[in-house]
Parts: sequence; structure tokens; C-alpha cells
Amino acid sequence: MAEASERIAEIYARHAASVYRRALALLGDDAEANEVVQDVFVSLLERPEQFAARSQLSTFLYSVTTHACLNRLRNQRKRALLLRSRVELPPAVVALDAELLARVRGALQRLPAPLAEVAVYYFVDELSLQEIAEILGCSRKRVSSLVDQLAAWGREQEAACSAK
Amino acid sequence: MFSQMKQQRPEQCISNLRFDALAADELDASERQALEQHVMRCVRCHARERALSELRDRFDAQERGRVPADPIASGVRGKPRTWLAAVAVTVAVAAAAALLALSPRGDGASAVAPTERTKGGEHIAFFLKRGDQVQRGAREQNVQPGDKLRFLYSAPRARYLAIVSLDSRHQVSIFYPESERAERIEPGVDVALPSAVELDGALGEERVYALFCDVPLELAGLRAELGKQGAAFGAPAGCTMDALVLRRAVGSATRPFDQGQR
Repeated sequence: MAEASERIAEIYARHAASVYRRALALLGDDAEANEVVQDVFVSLLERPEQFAARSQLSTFLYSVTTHACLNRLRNQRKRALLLRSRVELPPAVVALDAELLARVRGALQRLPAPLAEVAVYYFVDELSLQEIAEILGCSRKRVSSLVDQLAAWGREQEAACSAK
Repeated sequence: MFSQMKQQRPEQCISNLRFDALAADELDASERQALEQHVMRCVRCHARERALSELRDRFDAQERGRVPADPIASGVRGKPRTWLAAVAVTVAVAAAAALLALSPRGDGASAVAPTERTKGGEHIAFFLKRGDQVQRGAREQNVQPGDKLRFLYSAPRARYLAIVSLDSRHQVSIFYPESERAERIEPGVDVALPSAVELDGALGEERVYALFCDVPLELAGLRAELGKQGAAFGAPAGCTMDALVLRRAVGSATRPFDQGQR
């Protein structure tokens, strides 16, 4: 038990700040971001086999954190709160300003799951196609296709808005 | 939305994922070296590295603030998040508390320094003990005579470490190590050094410099150079430098911690 606690302490010390930073960018709310940190590490503590050394822990935590945040964005009760959030992060950390981040959050809760995840990695985290492929466990070509689908979805939304 | 958006990050610049992996010591030696070299010559990535480091420091400070001042004596209770944080903090604070069996400094220096953080993640931090309270110190920290400091280092690879200081009277002190040369350190995050210092009665600002070097630097030469250069002191060749500032003022014995500026 002591060894497990020390191992968790080490992982927490190395990665919790990164999980928190990404959750704050995606949710725009400090309390929600803290809850995501809690959920991610409790889940890791309860089911350590989910990591299974298939990639670096950082890569794995990007995936888990993204899923946790997208679930919260899709939660009806929390949606209104989160879409109003405007927490600022340093521009060096998140390229999008608070206003654009809020709009992205609105789009994320409407996007199909695979595209929402890619949107987070590509536009919010600004990862390369290869890095996204590592996280998703698929080919770079597949990621490129998903980014194209994302742009197509955006055009459809804009066309629908114009038609109204 | 998304149809017109473009990535702002130039392709050759480092992503946050790679910065996170670097901070977590997950990269192999060649990738780490390539990243560190890029950060040294790229203004954009240098700024990103610093911003991410500052966010990590702020998060760590918040985490420490969430748990009891003495988590060992107080026990660990509360919600899972508090428990998780406490697990992490208990390990670190327990190590610090156990090692805070201090020996008074004989040379009478106190501390202060600009809070530049080295590239590539090499840096120092410290625990500050006042009475029976222990907290993690800020990079610009207000302190009092009698406070006890225990330094920690984080380094992605093995280096030789020396920690020295220059006080407001231009006196140089060697905080670490006690030998005549910089001491070899192994890679690690927040590794507590095996000795601590108790601040004497000298007041004013003291700059604390941590030198992470490729070779075991002679401390006599380092002391002379720091005394000669004063505030203009720069890292010797083959070393990277981190710096902290301690501002020492007299306070009442019951005065709570005052972190000063971060």
C-alpha cells in the first residue's frame, strides 16, 4: 500500500498540473477543472491497468482528460455554466483567446465524439497530426482525414446558419 | 467554427504535449537534448516553457495550500481530491520534515535573487519551516530570521549542483554542498537535498543561485567569482543557473507565512 501510494504520489506530482491546465482550458472553470483532476487520478488509482504502458503516461493522460472534459461539456446541467466561463490562460499556453475558447466549447458539445476529440487536440492543444495519432492509437492519415471532416462539419454549420 | 481556424504554432516549435513529457522526464536523452536546444534559440518556445513552468509552480503551491500544515500529525482526511493531493504532499513534506533537523549556518548569509528559471526544467525549490509550520517557498519569498530552509532540486538528467547566495552586504554563502566541489545529483523531480539551513539575523535581500553543471565546479572559485561580479553574476560555462530571492525582515514569532511575489 505504501509503495502504491508513493507511486501515485509520484505520478500526481509529475502530471497533475498538466491535467489541471488542460481541463481549465477546455472547461474554463476552476472548480470543474479540479474535479477533472480528481476524477482522472482516482480512476488511475482504481484501475491502473487502463494505462497498460501502451504509450507515455503524458499521452495517456491527454486522452483521459479530454474524455473527462467532453463528458462534462455534454452534461446538460453543466453546459450553460461552462459555456459562460471565461477563464484566461497565458497566450503562450493556449493559443485561443477566452472568447474563441468559449465558442469552441459550444461547438465541442455538438460535435460527434471522434471529431470533438480531434478538435481539442488540433485546435486547442495545437498538436501535430503525428502526436494526435499517438494519442488516438491510429494512423497519421486517419487523423488527417478526421481534421478534414472537422472542417467540413464547420462549413455545414456555417451554411445552416446562413440559411436560417 | 473550425472551417477557417488554423494552428498558430509553427510546425518546428514544441507542442505542449512534448513540454509536458519533458517536465515529466519521459523523453529519451536525444529528444530531451533536441528540445532543450530548440528552447534556447526559439523565443516563442522559451516563452511557452516559462509560462508552463509558472503554471506548474502555481498549481503546486495551490496543492500545498489545500492540505494541513503538518499532514503527518493531522492525519489525512476529506474528499478524494484532498486525499490525492495529500498523498503527494505528504511524501514530499514528510521527507522535508524529517530532514529539517537543521544545523545553523555559520557564515551569516541570507538571501535573494532574480527569479529566472532555467531552460530545460532544471530548477530548485525549497520548503520553509517556521515554528511547527512547513510550506513550500515561493520564488520570491519573504522570510524571517530563524526560518529554516530545505532545498529541493528538479533535473531531467544527472548534473553537478551547487547552491550559493549573495546577500545585501555582498557576502557570499555556500548553501550546498558542504564539500569543496559541486555535488553530483541524479535525475529527479523535487528531490530533497540532504542538509538544511537556518536563517540568521541578517536582514535585507539575498539572491540564491543554483548552478547545474556538467563538471564538479570548484566552490572556492565560484565564491570568488560571485563576490567579484555581484548582482551581474552569470552562469559559468557548462552550467545552467536558476535563481531565487529571499527577502528577510523581522516579524513577530507568530506572524503567519507571507509568500511575497510569485
